[in-house]
Amino acid sequence: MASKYLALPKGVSEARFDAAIKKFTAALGKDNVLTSGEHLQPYTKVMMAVETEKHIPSAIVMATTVEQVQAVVKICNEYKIPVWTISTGRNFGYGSAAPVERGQIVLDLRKMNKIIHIDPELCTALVEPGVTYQQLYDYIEDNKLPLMLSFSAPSAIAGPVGNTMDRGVGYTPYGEHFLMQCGMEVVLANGDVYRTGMGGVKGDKAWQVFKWGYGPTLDGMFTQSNYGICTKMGFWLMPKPPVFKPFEIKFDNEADISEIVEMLRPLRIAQIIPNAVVIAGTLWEAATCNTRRSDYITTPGHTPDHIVKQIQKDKHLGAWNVYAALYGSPEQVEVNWKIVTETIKKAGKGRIVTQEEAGDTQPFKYRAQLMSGVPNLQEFGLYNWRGGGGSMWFAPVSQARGSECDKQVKLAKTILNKHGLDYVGEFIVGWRDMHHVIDVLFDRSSEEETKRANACFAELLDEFEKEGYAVYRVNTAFQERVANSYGPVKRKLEKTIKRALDPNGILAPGKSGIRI
Amino acid sequence: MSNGNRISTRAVPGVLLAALLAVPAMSASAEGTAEISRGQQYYEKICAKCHEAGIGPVLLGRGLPEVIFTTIPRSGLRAMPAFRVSDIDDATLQSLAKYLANSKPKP
Repeated sequence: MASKYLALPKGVSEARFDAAIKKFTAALGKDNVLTSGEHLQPYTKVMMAVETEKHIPSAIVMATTVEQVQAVVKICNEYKIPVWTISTGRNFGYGSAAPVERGQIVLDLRKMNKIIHIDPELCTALVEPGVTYQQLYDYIEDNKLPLMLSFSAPSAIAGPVGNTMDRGVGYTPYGEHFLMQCGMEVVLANGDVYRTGMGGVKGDKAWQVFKWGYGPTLDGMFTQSNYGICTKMGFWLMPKPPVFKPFEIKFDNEADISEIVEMLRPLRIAQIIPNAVVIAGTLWEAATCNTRRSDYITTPGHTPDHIVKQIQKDKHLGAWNVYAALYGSPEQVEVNWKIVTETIKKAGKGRIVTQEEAGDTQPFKYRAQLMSGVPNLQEFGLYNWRGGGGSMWFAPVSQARGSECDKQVKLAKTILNKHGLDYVGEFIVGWRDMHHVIDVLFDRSSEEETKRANACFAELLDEFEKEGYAVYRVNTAFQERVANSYGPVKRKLEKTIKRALDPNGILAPGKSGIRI
Repeated sequence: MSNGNRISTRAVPGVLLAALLAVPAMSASAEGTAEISRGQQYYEKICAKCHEAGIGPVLLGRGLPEVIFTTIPRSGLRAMPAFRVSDIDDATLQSLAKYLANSKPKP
């Protein structure tokens, strides 16, 4: 007999699920427990190259307080219901809001959206999971606070808790978001409410200023994991500098990439350039200034090099386009600008573009906004490159060395092109590391192309792994696979911790490949 | 709680989709009140970041029916993300739909 639910949790009968739903409803109110197809639909919108059916939740429960989160966890334990928690659910290209496995319920914390405090003197914030960057930005602007946000590209609709819990990055000097996190409140599987750092000390005021507390520092354990549900997070905000000077350096040849990294790494490590340096390829740039592939070519398959060169010429782009910024007093910026320009001059290649020269043109404008904490959604232009709503981020990590770039670009491009897809990528030079972020874009409305994209992504993971590279984060369809890249000892330890903290395995089983 | 029916893989009727993607038409409707509704606020804060940036199609002054603006955001469409009831409640979405259906083109 067909179930009245779109999906059921693995091993849970409909009658048992009925009983659990009744309890969720009693705890949260009927408006906060959703099971209809109409209500579940937005949670099923994924961009990954797998069938939607594989990631359909059985129900949505929405909590607005820590006590309600505790109640949800209690019911999940009682009925052995797996629960996938989202904050704003905007992890596009990594799984969006859908659970890692069909049938898990989604605990949606979007309505838990209080900015608990922002301290403009200590430059700290404490927020709930549903707070968005746009909401924070509006608060800072409305209250004229001298502070600046750092966020990922879907800034207007994403939020700091989810991004930080997934160890996402941004584009300001505070762009390594987990590094700037300070104090977490976590509901554990047994219902305990645990505060990291100084948070457990009665009367303490240092929770958002001192990260380490006493004894083991466990914050990292809760990121990219399923050991607890974060219900509050503290983090540091950068004081708004008197001068912000964004700039771009355009390089004409693909072969310049090694030299670019060698040239800029010393400036980055020495903090002359204090934010993550981005080195974006031609097609990334083209897509984010609203160029569609169909403007140039309509035949299927990858875009030939001569077309990419034509786009580069038509749109006045570089083969590589470096973005960075200087922040500080006029004197500081002046000195550092001199160092940057002399470095470029000495290299004898690369054309510098300043904000004054770029004016309001894209993609410079949105890059400058990202580097100065102004929310926008311009990078969604990437999704229009090929169209059809398919996107999976492939993001291998490497040392910040020129030789790594050349090798990775060639390998990635060969595999992507083999599967009829394009290399749309950028390097983000963190500090000593690089995230090579490649958007595997495909037409999800085509079953055939979706299959190719899936095979392509699997091959990227395999071939990069052979060269000693692994990704720092991955979509939910490939989390089990990527867990293996990091070796059996890590997996065994993670399982041991999981069994100790969550013996029923109710919290997001399968997240990062972790299960009891 | 409401009980289920099957999820539609194509939640947006083809005719609505065709209308949305078609060339903009002039709106015959007049703008209502000078007061900014919650829907308009939401549009300006969130939707406009794509729909007035050349990423999503223009929505203002298209003369499209309200149902388009209450349906598509909930399901998402191709590259467009889905907006859940926790992102925008039904009342605000209805207000947004009313605003867009009656909007004039941007000068």
